[in-house]
Amino acid sequence: MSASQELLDSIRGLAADVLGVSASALTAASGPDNVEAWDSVAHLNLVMAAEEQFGVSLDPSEIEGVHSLGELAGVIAKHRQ
Amino acid sequence: MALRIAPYTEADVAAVLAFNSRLTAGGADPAFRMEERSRALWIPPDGAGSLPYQEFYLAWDDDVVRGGYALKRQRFWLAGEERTVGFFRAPLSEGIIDKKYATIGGLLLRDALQREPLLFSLGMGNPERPLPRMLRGLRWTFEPVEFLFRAARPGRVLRGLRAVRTTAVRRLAMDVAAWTGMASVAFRVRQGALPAGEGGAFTERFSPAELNTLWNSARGAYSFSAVRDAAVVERLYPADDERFLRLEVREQGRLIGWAVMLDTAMRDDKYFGNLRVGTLIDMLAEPGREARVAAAATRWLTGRGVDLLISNCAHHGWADSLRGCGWRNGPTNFYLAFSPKLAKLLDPWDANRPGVHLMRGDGDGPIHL
Repeated sequence: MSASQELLDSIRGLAADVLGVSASALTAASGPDNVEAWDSVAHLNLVMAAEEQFGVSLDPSEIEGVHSLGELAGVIAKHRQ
Repeated sequence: MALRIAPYTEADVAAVLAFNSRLTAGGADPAFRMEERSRALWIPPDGAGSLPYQEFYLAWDDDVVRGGYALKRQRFWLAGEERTVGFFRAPLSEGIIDKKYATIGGLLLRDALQREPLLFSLGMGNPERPLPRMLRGLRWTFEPVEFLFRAARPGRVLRGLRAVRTTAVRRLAMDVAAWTGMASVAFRVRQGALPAGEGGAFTERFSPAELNTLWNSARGAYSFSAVRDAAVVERLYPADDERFLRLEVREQGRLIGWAVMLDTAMRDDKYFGNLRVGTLIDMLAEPGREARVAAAATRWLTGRGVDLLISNCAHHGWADSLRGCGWRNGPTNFYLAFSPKLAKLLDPWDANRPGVHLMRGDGDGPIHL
């Protein structure tokens, strides 16, 4: 499994916990537009949980720019490089 | 949006004025405006990093201010040791008039959490406002803080409160009527005479040595309390600020407690109309002497001629002491919220909650009073 796939899987698990949905129902394309529980508070919860789990700190603009789990994984990967 | 959050400096005032103008033009409640000065009026930083202090942060979208908040940093006695804790206050975002900026409120909170992970909020008004809803959504520990009152001049209080046309105040007026026996016979329950006993004495300046001795003897009684030693009390309630009324309570010459109060002649206030309101904003006592201090403060404020005595009191023992002096509970719009990391240090919450000592002085202090 590639590092980026591993990161995405970790984020799917985190998102499942924060959003209260099954991880198997989430993909890289999952986001506020297609996951009902993903409102602005859940978005913040998810970002803060990811920051804590992966030891990174996103810029406010990056947080605003995340619209899917794939994008979140991309931003986190960039900070971990 | 290229968003960033940074400390508010004097050079930013023009951008804040423009932000406030947009809020006004957008029809925002006039209560929601950003401070038009970068330096807080109450406990500003002293340049030496002395705690507590309060400072402001602004959210920038390129060179335009879209929001801001205040952060008070303070030492707290927390589960047996001193820790620095932040108080998140007055977040404001352009999201209240333009949904495009609706996420800024959350980013302000996250910024405060990054600066002070042990963070709390206090007050907040209606629990269905955006901030309390967001805090609950973020799994903060959230619960009401008791609002207590005593009508020193019941007739004036009833007339004064009935003139204010908000639901919460009407409920308070009914409570006053009930507890003072001024409503129908069915509600004829008297709030009781003023407690007898030795009074406290007004002082312009507390003795630092006595305050420190008292704090050291009292702190162990609390699971969570702002440090209330001499240096902190002087920063919070400076002796040269005449708004703060200081009362010391002694037993055989020894200081057993103190209280800080405000005496405010309200003017068209949305809660208290034009009443003269005495607010008990802070208290400390030797363990077991809380009732004496509460009684002395009640007598002293009443003797000053205020119409209504009010207080917000999170600590169960202090609230009981006030009730023992004829204070009653009214409808509260005062809530405490602890960040998950702060709440974790107070686990188990049910066991530690009664020992949480938070009053108005731990929140907005004299602001709005």
